[in-house]
Amino acid sequence: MSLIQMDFSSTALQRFTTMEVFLPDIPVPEKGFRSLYFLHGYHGNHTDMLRRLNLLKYAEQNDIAIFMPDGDNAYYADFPERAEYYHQYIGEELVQLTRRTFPLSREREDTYVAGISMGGGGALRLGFSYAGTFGRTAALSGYMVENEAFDPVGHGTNAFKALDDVMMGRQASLFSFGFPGAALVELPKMYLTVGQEDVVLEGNRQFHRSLRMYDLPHVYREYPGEHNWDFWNDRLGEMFDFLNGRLDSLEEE
Amino acid sequence: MAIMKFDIPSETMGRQVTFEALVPAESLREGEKLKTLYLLHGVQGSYINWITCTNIYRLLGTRNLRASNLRTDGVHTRSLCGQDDAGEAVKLAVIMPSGGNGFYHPIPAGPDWGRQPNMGHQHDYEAFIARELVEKTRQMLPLSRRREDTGIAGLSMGGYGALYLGIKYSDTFGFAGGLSSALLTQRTRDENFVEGAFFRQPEFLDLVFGGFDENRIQNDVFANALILKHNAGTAGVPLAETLPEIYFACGEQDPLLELNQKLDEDLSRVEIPHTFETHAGAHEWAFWEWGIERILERF
Repeated sequence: MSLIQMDFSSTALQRFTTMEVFLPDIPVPEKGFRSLYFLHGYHGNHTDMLRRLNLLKYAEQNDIAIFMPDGDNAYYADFPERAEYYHQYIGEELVQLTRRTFPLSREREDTYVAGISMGGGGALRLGFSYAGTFGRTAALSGYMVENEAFDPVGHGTNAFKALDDVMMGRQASLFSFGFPGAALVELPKMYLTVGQEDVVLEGNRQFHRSLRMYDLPHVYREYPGEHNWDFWNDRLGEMFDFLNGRLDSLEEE
Repeated sequence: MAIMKFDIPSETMGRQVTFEALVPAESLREGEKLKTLYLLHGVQGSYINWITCTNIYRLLGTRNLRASNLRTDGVHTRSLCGQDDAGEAVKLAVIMPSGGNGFYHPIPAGPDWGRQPNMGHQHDYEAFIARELVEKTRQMLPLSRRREDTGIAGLSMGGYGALYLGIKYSDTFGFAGGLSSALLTQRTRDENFVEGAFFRQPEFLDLVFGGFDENRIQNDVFANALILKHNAGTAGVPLAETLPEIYFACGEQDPLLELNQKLDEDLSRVEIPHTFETHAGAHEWAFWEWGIERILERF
């Protein structure tokens, strides 16, 4: 597995930014490598994924390119007043830049977004907004609060609101931006896992109920554990099983 | 322009290796392929030298911006190039590997444990740069596979390496550029001994060059150019089709000037096309700053 640290100029963030990349060493498949955009949590940065997680092992076992961008503490949301569009950065600019720079599959079925805590909530919302791009999303202890007050100025950090919006079709205009006809595309398959001693447990349970209410295919798993790296390392194997389609028959269990 | 630090496993080196790449990733168009320059460092250096000691990032950015404008402005494209988009790579990526102190040859590394080749007792810099690195970067990055879009250059030990590898592997490289190239000979081996400079010890040079000989061909720049010319003649192929564009330059105050002038004379004598330039300067970064700009212009 090749490790790449890449520094480059981002239009959506109006700055130079950085990311870490795992690239498989096997010959490139005809349609390109599968790709996973993996998002870090609050207080962290992209190097967390190298220092605290054993992602490399799964990247090697699954021959998948993994992109670990730096998302600041921005909840992967857009902040027009600061000219920082993190949501758009991940969902549009980063996907395009990585696809033009590296030999990646362009297919939705081969493109995934996942994350931890803040990155988990971000991954689910990105999956809703860019359903034509991402075939699967995964949230490990995703930070999701069912509270309008959490998103007071409408940055779109609230996953419940994002879900309601997408189901109400209110984001149809967002969908059609760059993806004509994408409003007809089904939502990505979803995987949510959370520790039973985690402060975000209740938010995840509620989100699970919301997904059920809307009859959306997803895998939801609770395990003993807290909001920490031990829990996330333990869940990586199952997350990759989901990304590989091995849990599809267990959806909505 | 993106600056990328790669850590990749290498079979020819028998270890994990690091290299740096400058890639105009942000402005890539769909399906666009880049020209590529492999850029080699000198003795006691590494992949980081060209970035830390020259203005290459800014020079390359300016060059690629100009290339972008040529491509996107149809009027300029036609008036300056006489043709519309011909599908040839214009923008340039630069790949900077580490060559240790091995003069870009296969050299011993670590103790010989009696295992298979490259498992702890050899670093094959030659195969790594000329074959494995080229192939792997072409797999990982959107690089043109055309010979005329692929060049190699370097300074001092790397200048020698670029001329040597560029000519020997002329099926891969269409351009070979050397700055202050360390074109060492039997005489420099015998006479240039300097106390304390390990790379001027005869024992060290014998180790990395496999010994010197007036008739040696396997790692001599001029000998490899002669072989290329001979093979082209035998096959009835125009020399220009197999020989890379050869460019080399040396500082007028550089102790290596005489050796570079000798290569210029030798190549001229046998009518092998090349360009040799001298410029004010010694064996120093100020000269290589001038030189890299010349190489980016020519390639």
